[in-house]
Order: sequence, then C-alpha cells, then structure tokens
Amino acid sequence: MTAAETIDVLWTWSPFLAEGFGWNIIVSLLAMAIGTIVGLILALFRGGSNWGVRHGGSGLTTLARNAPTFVMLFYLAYIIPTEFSLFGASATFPAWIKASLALGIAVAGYVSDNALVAIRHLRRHEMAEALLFVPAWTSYFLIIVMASSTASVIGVPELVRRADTLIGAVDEIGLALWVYLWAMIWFLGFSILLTLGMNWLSSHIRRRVHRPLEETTDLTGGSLP
Amino acid sequence: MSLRLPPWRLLSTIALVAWAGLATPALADRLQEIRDRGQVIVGVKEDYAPFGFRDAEGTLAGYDVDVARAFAEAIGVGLELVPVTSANRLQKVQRGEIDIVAATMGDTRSRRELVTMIEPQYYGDGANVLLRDSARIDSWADLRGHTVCGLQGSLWNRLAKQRLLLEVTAFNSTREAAQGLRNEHCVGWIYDEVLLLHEIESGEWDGFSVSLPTRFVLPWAVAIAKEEGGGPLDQLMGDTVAEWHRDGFLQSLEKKWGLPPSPFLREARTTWRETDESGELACRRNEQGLWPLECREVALVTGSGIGGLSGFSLTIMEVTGLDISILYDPLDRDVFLYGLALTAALSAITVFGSIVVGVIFGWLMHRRVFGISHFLRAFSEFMRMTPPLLQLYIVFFGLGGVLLSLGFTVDAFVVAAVVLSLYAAASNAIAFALASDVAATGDHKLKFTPRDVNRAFRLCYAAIMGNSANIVKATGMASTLALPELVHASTSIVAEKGNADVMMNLLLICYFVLVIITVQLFRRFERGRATTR
Repeated sequence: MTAAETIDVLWTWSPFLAEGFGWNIIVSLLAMAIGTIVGLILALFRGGSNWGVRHGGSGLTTLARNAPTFVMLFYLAYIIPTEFSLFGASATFPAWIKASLALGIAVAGYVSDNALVAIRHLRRHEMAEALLFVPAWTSYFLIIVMASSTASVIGVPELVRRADTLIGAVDEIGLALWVYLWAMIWFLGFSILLTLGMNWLSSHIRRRVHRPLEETTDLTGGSLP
Repeated sequence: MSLRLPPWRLLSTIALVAWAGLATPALADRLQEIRDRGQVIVGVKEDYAPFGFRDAEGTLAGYDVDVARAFAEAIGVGLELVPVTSANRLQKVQRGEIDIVAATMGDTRSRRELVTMIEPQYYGDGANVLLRDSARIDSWADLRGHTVCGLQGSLWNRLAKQRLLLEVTAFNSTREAAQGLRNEHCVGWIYDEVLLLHEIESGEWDGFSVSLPTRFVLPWAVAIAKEEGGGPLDQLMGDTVAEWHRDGFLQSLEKKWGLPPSPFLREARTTWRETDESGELACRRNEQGLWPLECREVALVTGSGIGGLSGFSLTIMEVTGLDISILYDPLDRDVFLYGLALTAALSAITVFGSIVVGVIFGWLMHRRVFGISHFLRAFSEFMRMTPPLLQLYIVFFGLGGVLLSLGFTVDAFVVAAVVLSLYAAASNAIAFALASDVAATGDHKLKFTPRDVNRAFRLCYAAIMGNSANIVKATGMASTLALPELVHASTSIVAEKGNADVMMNLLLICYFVLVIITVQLFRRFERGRATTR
C-alpha cells in the first residue's frame, strides 16, 4: 500500500471513525453522570452523622475505588441480560449502557473522595477551594474517555472497534499500524484540547483563592481506574 | 432482572436460583406460543459465510438461514431472524429470547446438558487446520506441541488441547485468528473444515493449505430450550429434519451455497431412506416418540471428557444450579489456574517494572538533564493521553506486523508487560518528579543516591501505590492479545460451559484479592521500613 492509498483510506473513513469517537464521548459522559450522582450521594453519606450511614458510605467507596473496570465490563456484559421485561414491558439493555455502568463505578469512587473534600470546604464557606472539584472532575473525565476504548471488547461501536472493523474490511497488510495511530491522534487531540481548557479554568479558580492551597490534586489520577 | 452492584450479585443469583427451584415449572408448550405469535424467532450467525452471514444488501443469508426459513414454513408461521454468536447462542435460547438456534452448532454431550438438540442433526463437519506450508507438517502427530490459532468458544480448541496435545491461542474473531496466523503466532489455524476451505477459495492464502485428514467429525444440530425436550416443538422439528434427509433438501442447500459434499449428509440420506422387511421406513419414532438407536448419532464426540467427577461440585450444581466447572473439570481447572498464574506474574512484573522505570524517568525529569527531561515529560503525557488498549494494539498488531516482515515475532506476554509497565511508569514518573521537586531544598537537586531517592519515594508512596493497584486491575487488557490470562480463561470457560454467573463472580473475586494483596504488600513494605529506621 502506498502512502497516498493509506491516506485515502484514513481520509475516506474518518467520518465513520468520528461517529465512533462520538460513542466514546457518549459512553464517557453517561459514566460521569452516573458516577457523579452516586459518588455525591456516597460523599454525603460519609459526611453524615449516623455511624452506620458513614461507614456504609466509606465501605461502598472502597469497593468502587477497587473495582477493576475492565473486568467489570465483562462482568456486566455476561450477567445483565440484553433484553428483559419490567412490569410487563420489555426493555433492552445495550452494551454501551453496560460500558457506562462499568466505568461509572470507578467514577463514583473518585467523585466520592473528591466531593468529600469539596463539601468540607463548602461547610467552611470556602467557595473557591470547593470549586477545585471542577478541574479534578474534568481530569477524571479525560481518564474515562481513555478507558471508554475498552468498551470495544464488549461490542460497543466506538473508535477502536471501528478501527478494527476498518482494518478487517480493507484487509491490507501494514494498514493496521496507520489506522491505530490515526485513532490515537483523535484521542490525543481531544486530550490536549480538554487539558488546555482545564488549565485555563484551574488558573482562573486559583487566582480567586487568597490563601495558599494545600495540594488537592490527586497524583494517582493518571492511570486507568 | 434488576441491576445490582457486584457484591450483591452473587447473593441475588443464589436467591434467584433458590426461588426458581421452589417454583413448579410450568408445562412448556413453545409451539403453541409460536403459533399464537404467528412468528418463529430463530438465532443464526451473521459472520460465518456461507452458513449465516450478511449479503451485499445487509440481509441475513446462508445455509442456516434457509434452514430457519424452512422451519418457519413447516410450522406455518412467519420468520424473525436474530444474529447470535458462539458465545451467546446457548444463553439466548435458554432464556427464551429466541425459539430456535440454527447457528453452526456442534452437537455435544455437554451442550445437551444445557439445551435440547433436535435429532436428526442437519449438517456435519469436522475440524481441520489451515497450515503454513513452510511449517512442513504432514500429519496430526507432527502438530503435537505446536501452537495453533483458534477461535474463542470453538469446540475444537478443547479437543485439540485434550486429545492432540496442541497449544491453542484463541482469538475473538475469524479476522483476528487469520491475522494471528499471518503474524506467525501459530503454525496453523484450527477451525471448521468447510470454513477453512471457504477461506482458501478467497485466494488470499498463498503458501497455506488444508492438507490433513478431517478430525472430530461432528454432527451439527438445531437446538431449542431444555424444557422443550420431547415436547410438540421437538417432535415437529425432528420429523421435519428427517423428511429433509429423505427428500434431499439439505443436500440441495449444500449445493446452493457452494459447500463441498459432506459425507455426513450423504450417509444420513442413506440411513433415513432405509426401509425394513415390511417396506416401511426403518427410522420411525417408537411409542415413546424416540427414534430407533440405529438411526441416532450414538458416538457423539464429547466436548467435556469429564474425568474424576467431584461429587461435591455436582451436588452444588444440582441444588443451586451453579456450575462450578473448575472444581470437577480438570481442563477448566488447568485453564483457570494457568490464567490466574499468568495474571499474577504479569501484575508483579508490571508493578515492578513501572516503579523502576517511573523512578528513573522521574529523576531524569527532576534533574532536567540535556533535553531528555523534556522528551520524557512529553512521553509521559502522551502515555496518559492515549488509551492503553490502543497502545497495546499498536505495538502488538501494528508494530508486530512490521517487525514480522523483518523476521522478528513479538510475544503477547512481553508486549503486555512492556506496554502496561510504560503506561503506569508514566504516571509514576510524573509523581516522582513532583515529589523530587518538593523534596529538593532550594537550588539543590536530588542526587541519584539511595538516601535522596528514598526521600522522594516516600513523598509519592501513596501515588505509586494507587498507580500499582490500577495497573493490576488493567492487566485484563492483555486478554485482547489472546494471552490466556484470567479474563481470557474465564470467558473461554463461559463460552463452552455457559456458566457465566459462576465464572464472572470468580473472576471478580480473584481481581479483588489481587488488588488487596498488592495494596497490603505496599503497606507492609512501608511499615517494615518505618520500624527498621
């Protein structure tokens, strides 16, 4: 395959791949939504006054924090039926929602930890410090978008899955490397844009903070949950 | 079924099974249900030409699809086709999502424990191997000890391991298995013979051939739910298939789809047309509605050579319905334990590698040497800003293909260990560099001495522990490279046994334990250092 042919393949099928990347974003956003709601509830539990509620919140957070998301994908894919009936009506449970759920569990653990800190700041009326929750949340969103590529293993038609489909369909030896690299550039471009936006937001918030901040950014936030 | 979080899942499963055991099973009459509905739902394959595949217009077509259509006609209702895979077909028919499964499924004793196979069987095929000619393999015995590529969920994998003592690398799809063979991950691809012959015909396999005699000739059957066995649907479908053997319908389908003449269909036609002295058909149902033994496939190839049955695990299965096959099936146990060992080894190597590399990179970043530190910082950001799964694919499938043309083969374990180590090392390096900056006082940079490294290491200990726990969780991704680690082992057992509940819970428990062990080792190490000081 010549370079021109390779570029032609990548260019022609970029809309197809872009649609796949759309799935990555959708799965990730839903995972963040589920995880944030559950995580906030857990954080409120942990900050509660009742002993049982507090420990329940901590226990569930520990579980969520330690749940291996890649394994959870398979777990949910095998255990939850794709179609089921509820109150007589039949509903479907597509793979992409299962993927969001699996990723959402990790989000819940992370949000629970960070929201706990933010809530404490809020109680002390430290608005700006509490707002640091936002960049932390966004940096985790980035991690989840990276992790969303694993949804391909349970059949979600996201970018990596479509890259595989394309490689199989064109079936030219040597094409795989270029298609995968092209897919990687999509992720990289998205990450860079999001990081730039995030840095701007962070510095904006930091400028409003008068006292020097204790280090609240999470050093462990860098790798797949 | 409601959605639950994992810890309750096991309990809810047990409760559900207990409840199902208490309730009296309703008398099944699926045939009436199909007639009331006016439509029969049949599961067929969509990626298995020429049996079940999507034609140019995207509609399902093939031998199995024609069989499905003929069944609908025989019942006198409409037809709805549902695509299924080897991994989900048994579950779908047993859960009642589909009435019938006609999806290139071999009739085995273990599958008969899960579903009802319609007799007589409607096709028969055996295994063969698409071999690289340069491998110079002339007999099945020559293959012993070699690695062959296979497809996850394929029955041949198990038989090849158990009876031919081959190593099997199981891939997720035919495309990946084909790529695996081209990339020299194996000397041959073991698969259904007709499919391999079909592949050869595509003309893209110069230097490869299917030359060994057929092994494990296995009849293929259409299946319905377990409870329907002996019921009206079973009877009607069995009579229909018997009639097809007599009038040559199946052989005409074989010709239509360009399949090589199958000895199974030829023999079945003779058997089912035979008449006795009185001139009546020899193969007719007796008073119990069963076919005479002479007409049935008595010597079924069994996929589950269950040896040394453990009474305990069978009792569990009878009482709770939980099929803990790794307790009674030696092959499953070996596959699972090997997977566990591989995952543990990969975790240990990856954690160790990511810390060593992370500390070195982090220190270089801190020292700002030459331009290396900029490069490393960019590299670390790059590793964090791209999906690790793609990193694995690029190195294994992408670079692997390029390296192959230069005469090198890449090993899945090595690729997984290196890529995952670098991935976690990137986060460790950033944490270590930050910690070094904090630990360094004034303009003094830290030196690469045990004392200085130790100071920075202690500052970022929690971060490195978190990264290590995360990378242990991520080792499952190596399963996508057909490395037979724990996830791969569990899914392939599920594909053959259908015991997803048990295997998935076991898998999850194993991973929780691995993560806890990792964290505990870190804590103990930390405490140990604290007390020796």
